[in-house]
Amino acid sequence: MTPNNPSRRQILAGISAATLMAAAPAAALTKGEAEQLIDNIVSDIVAIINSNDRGQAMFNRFEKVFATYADVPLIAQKSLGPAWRGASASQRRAYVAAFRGFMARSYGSRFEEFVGASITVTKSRKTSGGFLVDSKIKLKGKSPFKAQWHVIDARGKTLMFNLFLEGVSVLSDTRVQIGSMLDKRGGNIDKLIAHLRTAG
Amino acid sequence: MSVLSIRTVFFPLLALAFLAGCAGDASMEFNDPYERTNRKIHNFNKAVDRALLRPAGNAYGAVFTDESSEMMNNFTANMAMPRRIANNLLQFRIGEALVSTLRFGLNTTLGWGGLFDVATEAGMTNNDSDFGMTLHRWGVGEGVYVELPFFAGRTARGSVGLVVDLAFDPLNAVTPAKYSTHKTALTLVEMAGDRHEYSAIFDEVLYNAEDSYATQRLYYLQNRRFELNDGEISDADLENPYDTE
Repeated sequence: MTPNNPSRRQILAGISAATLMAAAPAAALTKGEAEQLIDNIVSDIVAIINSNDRGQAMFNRFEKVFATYADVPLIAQKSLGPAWRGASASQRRAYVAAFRGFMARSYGSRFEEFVGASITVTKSRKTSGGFLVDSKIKLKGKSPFKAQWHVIDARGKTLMFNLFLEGVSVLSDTRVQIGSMLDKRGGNIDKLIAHLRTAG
Repeated sequence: MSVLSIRTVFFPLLALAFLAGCAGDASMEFNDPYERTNRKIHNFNKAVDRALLRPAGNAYGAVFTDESSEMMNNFTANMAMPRRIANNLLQFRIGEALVSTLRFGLNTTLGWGGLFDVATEAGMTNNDSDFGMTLHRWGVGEGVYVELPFFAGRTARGSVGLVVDLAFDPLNAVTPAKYSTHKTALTLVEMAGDRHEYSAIFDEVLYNAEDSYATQRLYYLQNRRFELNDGEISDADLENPYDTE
């Protein structure tokens, strides 16, 4: 048995992720589960950026990874800020749908810079609603930097909620960008949704 | 450029000393009452970057190889050591002050005046320190956010720190007057080097972000809090996923 066989590792990771998803909602999120989730996300991200896929093909793969491991509807809601309250049910649905692609492009292009990087989970600590999992990203010829993943218990599922790069919250950053897009469109959510479908 | 009257530029600077002492409202994400003025200065800084700093960064990249650039970084980092040692001491971090002193001694002698970082190769830690950090340790609050001409944005506390670090650098006391121009030139080369090394993030924030001012403010403040919090996310920046907006 070759321990480093990537397909085997991916299958194992997939199985363990599936087990996590199936966990009873009553069971509280544990440190091990939080770290496992980040191990899975990281290995998927590394596999994507080191593959030959670029552009739309790469973003499609990122969208799938986020759909599996991240609480995208919650991230979408928090990224819209106070405007979420004023949105109708159908606007909210359309916005979340448009946000999926936007998130894949904006987070994905950030990860694209990590090509050739080694990412290792270092430690984690309990925090509001879940765990903060620390990882170290080492890019060739550069000093390593810290990426911290906020993992939460989302209605019984272990999911990623936020990512901090050297202390900077990607969620806050996305909120600034989306807030500014909305301002430029006079606060019109429908125009924002139309823009998000291609922005990123 | 008429918007940049003496008042708009220097009023925040004068107000700094007082404001640094006023603790910001922790419940607010950002304490930025001078946003209108700050945005004007931000546009000025962006014009400076476009006209001078970015081209200087590109020139730096063309002139310096990776090796010579590393030597340059080592040299300027070594020049900053006396300032760091002074701040280590002011923060009562005696152990770190000792390590910094040893590091400065080693790199200045065995490292050929600081061109080579032999201390790091010998496994010594490198702790960054500045007067803004010292004020933080002394319990001074973050204060308001101010965008300084040529120096981009920082907190009132960080701005006072910057002024103090520049004005009271122990190295100034031992640098003969005839070399002070060389020291200034070196600072400018260092700025160009930083602009080159971090060009991706500079360009992203200044020219690709939807709102470069708000993005830079976010990056600076959250990164600075993280740095002062010894590499941990401060509770203010760690959002509760379940609170309702």
